[in-house]
Amino acid sequence: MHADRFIQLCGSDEPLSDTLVIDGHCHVGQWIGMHAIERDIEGIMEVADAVGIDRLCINYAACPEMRLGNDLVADCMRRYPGRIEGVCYVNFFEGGEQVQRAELTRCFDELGFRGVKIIDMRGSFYPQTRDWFEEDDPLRPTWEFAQERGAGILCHGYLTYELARRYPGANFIVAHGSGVPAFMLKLVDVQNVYCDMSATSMLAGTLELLCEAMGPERVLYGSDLPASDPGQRLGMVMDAKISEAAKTLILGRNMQGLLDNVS
Amino acid sequence: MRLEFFDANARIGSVPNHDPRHGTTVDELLREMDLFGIARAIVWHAWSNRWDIAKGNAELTKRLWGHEDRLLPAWAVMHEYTGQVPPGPQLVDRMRDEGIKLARLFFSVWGSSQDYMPWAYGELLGALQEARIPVMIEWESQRPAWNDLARICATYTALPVILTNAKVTQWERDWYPLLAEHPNFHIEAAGYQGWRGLEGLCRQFGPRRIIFGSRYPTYQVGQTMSMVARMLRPAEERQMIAAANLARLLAEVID
Repeated sequence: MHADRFIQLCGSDEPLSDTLVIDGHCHVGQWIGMHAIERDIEGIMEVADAVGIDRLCINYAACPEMRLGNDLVADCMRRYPGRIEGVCYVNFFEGGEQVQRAELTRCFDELGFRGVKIIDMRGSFYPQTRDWFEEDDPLRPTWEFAQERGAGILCHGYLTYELARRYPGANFIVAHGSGVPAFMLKLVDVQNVYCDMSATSMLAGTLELLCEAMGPERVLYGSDLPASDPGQRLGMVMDAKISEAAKTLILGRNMQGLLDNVS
Repeated sequence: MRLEFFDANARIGSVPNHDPRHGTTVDELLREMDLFGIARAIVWHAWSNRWDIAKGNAELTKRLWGHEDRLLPAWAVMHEYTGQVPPGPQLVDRMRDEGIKLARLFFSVWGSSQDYMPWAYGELLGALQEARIPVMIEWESQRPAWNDLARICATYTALPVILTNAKVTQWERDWYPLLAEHPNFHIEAAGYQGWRGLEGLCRQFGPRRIIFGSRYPTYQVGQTMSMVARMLRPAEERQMIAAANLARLLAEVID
């Protein structure tokens, strides 16, 4: 193993200025039970500039009022044009199918969002959290919308092998997937499933394992900022025992492809 | 700017489910350090916390022989009641004879129930304090016992106490009172990932209380390294965390 340019940058404060870096898992807003300084969008962009993150895919921090949260993300997009990709948070508890579809349409067509975020806040995350049949699925409008638009859905919970197979035009990103590699390995042969690497626990070798099993084309850099530090997560990619080309894909190229796929 | 790094937390010796890409031998550790430009590291042996503390420590000393310029051994310690190690003062004398400048104390190790008992650890911690040998404490399989940590810091005020494996973001709220109340309390940063977390600690408590460690080969070297290098604090503060704080603590050990 030689010290490629990413490894050489691990111990340096030099930003990754010659590499496209898209952070695929970001939030704005306060989160439950955490203390952290400078969590507002100005504090986030200060770090993004210092580290060398070109663009951030942001959803609100899973607030119960999805429209309010999505509007706050849109405000960040207006303040930092070209730097922020809006990700629409959908909460099916807030209304029926029409409300869900209306909010997705508003965010994509009026506000310029290019991604979807869902999270199971009922307490159970992985590996299997859907407990209803297809005809009762309250998130069906979201799956269908993503399928129509070719959008990526950052799934914190809910995702199953069958679901991803049922909507091949949508792209499913397993939020914090690097923390559940055994779950990811079950989804290896579903090509529209991607692994977000913003897990709180990531043992040495996990990223290499995921790249070998899924291919580096399906692994996405994400930090979960401002719940977590993007420098720490960048280090996981930069120092991994994979090729420099694979690191470039994971840091930004793969997410760029997903964003470009949205109509 | 590139920082100089002194790693407080590297391991040799294998553990179950170890990823083969990340080495467990001295040569592999040195290669990894060279790759990332880490000058020196404090090293412990996998056997010393799970299988055989005495053999683990002895094996460590043997394997690091000839690498003293870069690799410094850290011995695991425990109370003497099971006969696995000599009584605290004798153990510390042996550590001083062998040039051991850091002790590791493992609580709640997977598969066992070794916990802090003040009456059982008094002589040991007292002897470590007398020698000013820093003790790195880890609750391996559970949340750190904050009240035990506070009691140790308050009882042995001249003993540098370093908490390691303090990785989960939500726990950091509990660090603040410990850092505020106990000047001898330090945090080793491996695996920590709080948003601007190191920066927040530096702002409130200064940079002297945070120690760089990689926890290699459990974690990758670059994770914590990158976080320390890129934190938004002046270069001199980052350099203190990366290497100088640990060097200072070791320099204060009474030989």
